[in-house]
Amino acid sequence: MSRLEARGLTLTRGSRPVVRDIDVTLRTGEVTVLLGPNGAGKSTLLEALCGLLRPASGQVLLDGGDLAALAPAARARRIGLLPQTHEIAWPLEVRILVGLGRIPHVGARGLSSEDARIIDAALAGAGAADLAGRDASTLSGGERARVMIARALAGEPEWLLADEPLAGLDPGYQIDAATTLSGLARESGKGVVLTLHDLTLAARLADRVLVLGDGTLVADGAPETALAPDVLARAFGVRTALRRGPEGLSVDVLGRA
Amino acid sequence: MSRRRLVVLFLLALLLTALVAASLMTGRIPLPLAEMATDPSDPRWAVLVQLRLPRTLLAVLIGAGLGLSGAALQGFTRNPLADPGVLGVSSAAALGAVLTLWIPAAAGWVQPAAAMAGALAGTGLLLALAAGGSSMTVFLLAGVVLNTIAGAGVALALSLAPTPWAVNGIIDWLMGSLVDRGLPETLFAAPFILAGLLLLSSTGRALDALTLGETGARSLGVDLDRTRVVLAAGTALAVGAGVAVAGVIGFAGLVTPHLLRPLIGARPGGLLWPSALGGAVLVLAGDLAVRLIPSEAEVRLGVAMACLGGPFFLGLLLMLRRRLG
Amino acid sequence: MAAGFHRTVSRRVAAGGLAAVGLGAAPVGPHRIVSLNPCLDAQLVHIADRRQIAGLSRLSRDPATSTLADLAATLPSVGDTAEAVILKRPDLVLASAHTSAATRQALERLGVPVAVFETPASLAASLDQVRRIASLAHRPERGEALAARIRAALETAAPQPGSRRPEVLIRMSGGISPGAGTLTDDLLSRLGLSNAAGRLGVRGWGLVRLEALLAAPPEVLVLADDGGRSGRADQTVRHPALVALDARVLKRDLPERLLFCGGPVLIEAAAELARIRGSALGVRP
Repeated sequence: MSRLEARGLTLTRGSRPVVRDIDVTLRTGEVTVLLGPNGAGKSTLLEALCGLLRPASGQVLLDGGDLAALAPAARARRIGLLPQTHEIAWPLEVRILVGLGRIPHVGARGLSSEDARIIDAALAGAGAADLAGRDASTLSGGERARVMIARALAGEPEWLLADEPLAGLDPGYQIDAATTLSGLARESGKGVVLTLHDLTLAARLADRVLVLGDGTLVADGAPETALAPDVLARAFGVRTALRRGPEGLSVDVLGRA
Repeated sequence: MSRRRLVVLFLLALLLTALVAASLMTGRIPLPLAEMATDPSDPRWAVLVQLRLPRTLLAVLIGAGLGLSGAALQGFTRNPLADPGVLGVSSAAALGAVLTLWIPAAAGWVQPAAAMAGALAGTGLLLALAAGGSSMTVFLLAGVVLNTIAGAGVALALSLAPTPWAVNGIIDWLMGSLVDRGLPETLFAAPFILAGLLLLSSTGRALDALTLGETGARSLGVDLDRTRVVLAAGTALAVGAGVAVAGVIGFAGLVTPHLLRPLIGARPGGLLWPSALGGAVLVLAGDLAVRLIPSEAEVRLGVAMACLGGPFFLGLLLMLRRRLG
Repeated sequence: MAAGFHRTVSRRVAAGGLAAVGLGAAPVGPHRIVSLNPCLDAQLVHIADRRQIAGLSRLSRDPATSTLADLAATLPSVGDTAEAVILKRPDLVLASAHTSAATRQALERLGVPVAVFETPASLAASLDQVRRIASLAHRPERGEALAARIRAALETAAPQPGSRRPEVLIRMSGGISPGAGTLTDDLLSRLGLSNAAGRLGVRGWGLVRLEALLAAPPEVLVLADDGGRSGRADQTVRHPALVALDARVLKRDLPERLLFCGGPVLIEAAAELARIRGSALGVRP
């Protein structure tokens, strides 16, 4: 059981404050979805929680200890980030690309057979096993997204922070990825934090929803409360209705607020 | 280590050994080893040991330094057109050496020392210009700035040179040559080049991680600032020492990783040591070629490498254009 | 360093000489001399026996820049790398200060005595070089003879006492002029000519800007290029702008190669400069 906390966190990009004075405590075993309009600071917050962005003020704590005090390699072993942009600089074989996720764990000796097993498992978990032998530069957007998920899974981090991991995926693969991420949290006991645009998907996937607006948290709680129409109206400027159906919660967007 | 990489490494090592043997045998003076083996006091041994052996070793070391630093730089900048010359290290070293023109009757070690000082100073300036978590673009631009400043400095030094013949001497040196370099030069350069090779080879994991971009690499625990320092220091040592004793030899750093990528794969970390070997092969082959060209005046190695590198660069550019267009 | 080598080589040559006297037979001195510089070549051919010369520099065969091209063609030529030199099995190598340091050091490491010569900056320095080469080749009498011939040529070319000193600017390839502190400058003053380059502030070998030249023209402009024989048209020497000076300035030609070296070429150089002085005095006594 691990805790990832933000305390009084203020983040700036250049001189512009993006996020002000945020307090939030995240736990492993849960899927937390971060919502908010574009520019609200979701990616920025995610980067800070991953230890990649120094806060202007406040702290990020991992199990009570200052995250900034951890050596980069040690931090990377515990917290993994799946960035929004899927940069791939070289035409590597997909398996090798996914293998890059093992870097925090692998020393000079190179990849072992155990590493190879983990890589295969990661490929399977991301639904990308059929892409293993492909040249990464030939992948379509959706295929690339799946491979990147595999790369993130290969690191076997305790915390997986993912920025728009489902964007660009076909509906079938979206379901698969959502299932994998959910399984990571509920079955493997990892901490999963992701950003999404699809409100219904957020409602179904999340154990907890954080809504960012105007640089602060305007909601923090179970989907039923955090996705309430008044919250969404304030955050997105849209009228919504929250329904519970046989498949789970849904959020219908009705129009402008 | 993948099987393919092992095979390529082995073949390169084999090729290098063959070239070393050929290099020891090539020159104006016939060295019949069979004859010479029976007479240890044969003066021709001096030619082998004092001239050909150091020259061969130096070619191997300089080529390894250029090849490995080229591969490391291409990995770091994620730009297949990167080259140790891009960072301005060679130019800064050249400037250091050229400035010794004004020191009258300088001892033999002054020029190489000044070149190394130039390389290190240039690298220091580079790090200062690109410091503090700045982006790849800024780093590359800093290299361009350094190249421009050093190039202007060299041109200025040439125009203010004491005699027209001093200018010829410097231009000659700038063109890069291994002619008559002996054991002292080799022993001077070797420790620096080897230290540089070790430093550069330690960046393999960071370079691999950079495949995913700067954020991706940092999320994998790579300290980019430290990598940048190690890279710059390693390049200054590996390439600066070579420039210090042999002048500016280019293109091996650019060409070698490109030739090896189709064979070994594009993973930057995996290209490092093969590129060192490949660079050694390329420079030694070039030096061998200029010795074999029948002419009274030996073609300068730097010129020969440029003749190879120019068309290669052009072909690369055209291929990239076609792929992007 | 050069002086040290001189002493080392002289001692070796002297020791060899003594040994030879002891044996009472073979001719004394280095038997295979290689020269790596065309100026040194030109002196060597006047001083050493033909069979002492194992190799001259390649540049001596170039008719555009060499004063002994025809002669050099009949003598062995040597490349400028240590291996090429070693191939000639020399026991003495003459090199200039501009010969590649790497080559000089490589030869020293291989046990070949190398004598290094600076570019002479005065007549006295040039004559000293002649004598030094003669001493190294163990033909001191030839050195004295050559020095005497050079001095005699300068005597012949010397001006009448009390005559006017015309002002001359020598313009060489690239717009370079020999200024104060060069051998050519010394030559000019001994031949009763005033060096305009000195007046224009040139120390050593320096560039004289066309504008400076046009603003304060000399009495005589000596155009010293290679006559286009090497195939390059040097605009700086015969610049179209110089046509403006045609009325005021006396223009004369001089082969550039007469000015590169000291030694025997000074004989011809002195004669040419004396002729130029004569023309100038003819126009304005």
